[in-house]
Amino acid sequence: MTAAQILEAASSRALLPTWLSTAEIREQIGAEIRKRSLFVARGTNTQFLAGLARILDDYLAGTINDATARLRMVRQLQSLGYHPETGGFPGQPIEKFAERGTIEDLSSPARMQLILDTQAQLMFGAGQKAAGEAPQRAFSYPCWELIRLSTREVPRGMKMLKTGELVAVAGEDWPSRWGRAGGELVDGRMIARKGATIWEELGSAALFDDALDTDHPPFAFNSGMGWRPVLRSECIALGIISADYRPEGFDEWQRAERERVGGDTSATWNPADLNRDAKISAKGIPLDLIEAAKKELDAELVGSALRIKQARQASREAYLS
Amino acid sequence: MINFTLDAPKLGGPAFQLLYSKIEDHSGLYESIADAAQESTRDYLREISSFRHKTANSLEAAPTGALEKAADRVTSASDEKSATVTVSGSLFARAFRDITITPTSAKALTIPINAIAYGKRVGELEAQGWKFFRPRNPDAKPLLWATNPAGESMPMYYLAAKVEQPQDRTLLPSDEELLEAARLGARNYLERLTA
Repeated sequence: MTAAQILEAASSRALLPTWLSTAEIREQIGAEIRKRSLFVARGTNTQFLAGLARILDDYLAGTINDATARLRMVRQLQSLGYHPETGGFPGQPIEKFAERGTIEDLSSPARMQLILDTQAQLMFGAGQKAAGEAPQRAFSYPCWELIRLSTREVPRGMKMLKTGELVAVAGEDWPSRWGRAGGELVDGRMIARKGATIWEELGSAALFDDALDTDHPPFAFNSGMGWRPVLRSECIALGIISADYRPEGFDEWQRAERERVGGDTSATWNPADLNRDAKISAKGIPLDLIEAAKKELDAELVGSALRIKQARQASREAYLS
Repeated sequence: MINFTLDAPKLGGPAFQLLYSKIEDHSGLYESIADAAQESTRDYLREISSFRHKTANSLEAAPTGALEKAADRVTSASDEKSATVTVSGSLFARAFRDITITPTSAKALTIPINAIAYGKRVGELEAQGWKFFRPRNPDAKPLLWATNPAGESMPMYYLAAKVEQPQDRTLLPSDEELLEAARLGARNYLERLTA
């Protein structure tokens, strides 16, 4: 999914005004409707949602930053007469009034930021899944790894001791959730194949109270966890896939791609041909020439991970010095 | 918005270059290069976001997460001739040159000097009930003060006519790192063809 497609998907969602709370929305509105709708808990006003949709379009496109997006949201709420402690929007009272400045107050910075972050992460996650599961990408990067992408003062499933030390709460931290969702840790990491059922389970509200019913990040409210695609060679080394693993649809992709590049699998090639390339027909790209080119790239890439790590370390030290 | 455009012919040695010249349609190759470069750029931004908090730390404020969010918004595109990685956000403007920031719609730039003001605009705080004012003493520093809803006053922003920031290439991955990513993308593509 391209950036344009992500933005189109975001702006094409139906507006769903609701007086329901987060938990009630999950219980009473189906996952498919939620996926195709723009709503916020206790967001009863259609005009507010329409304005929010426009702000989100600009925010997701990167033309405004967080502070400007929040400012536009709060100005819109003011213009609509929103007041958290006197029943929300005029004429659309909600049963439970929000205390000003709390997460239940639509105009509080924390709530507005949560709305922005959740919407951006949902769109990004959907785009990442759609693009990442294309057969050619699922071949080169067969797995997702669940990692922390955004820092949290106290991450989900952790608690801070008086000493300031963070410790896991048994059964609540992400590795525990991973286990409850049917996953197994691989070398201590949360890695699974793209399209595996674990991803649906991890986002299932039937298993987790705070889940978003998605099969892509974010899997839970206010979560800082997300996906990193894992390279094929690493997946093989970890024993998650076999060396001959081919994702669904890859054979068709490969056939079409070979045809497209003008490859000729029956042609032969000799390294000496490098100096006499006229011997290779324009239509014939022998597979052993491709293998030779691959070996050249492999030789260039030897030690690249270490080189990058060292360069990044030097950059970090220079910044912090 | 910053665009990196990558081309492939010099990524490998003579066999790769010969192969490149013989491929009729390079769009699959460049798609794979774009994917790898996009992922590498995201990875880089996430890594530097873990420690680049000088301003937030100096104010003892929570980081805004601008780099983390920019990582999510890295996009890529490709065609038959090149791969392009795009990084969005004005904060990257100084990756390639010194910059001078001047106000566009206000009289002065507001530089936060208080943790409460960090990452927030004046209008947003006003909406939360803060009242802003300038001290009357003409010799005072150009500071913008505010009184919170509880009646406490404190300096919030330094007012500046302009801010000059030196170039900082480390805001984005180095050319070498992008080249390595492009090689990995090319290598992935060839593996797909021969698997």
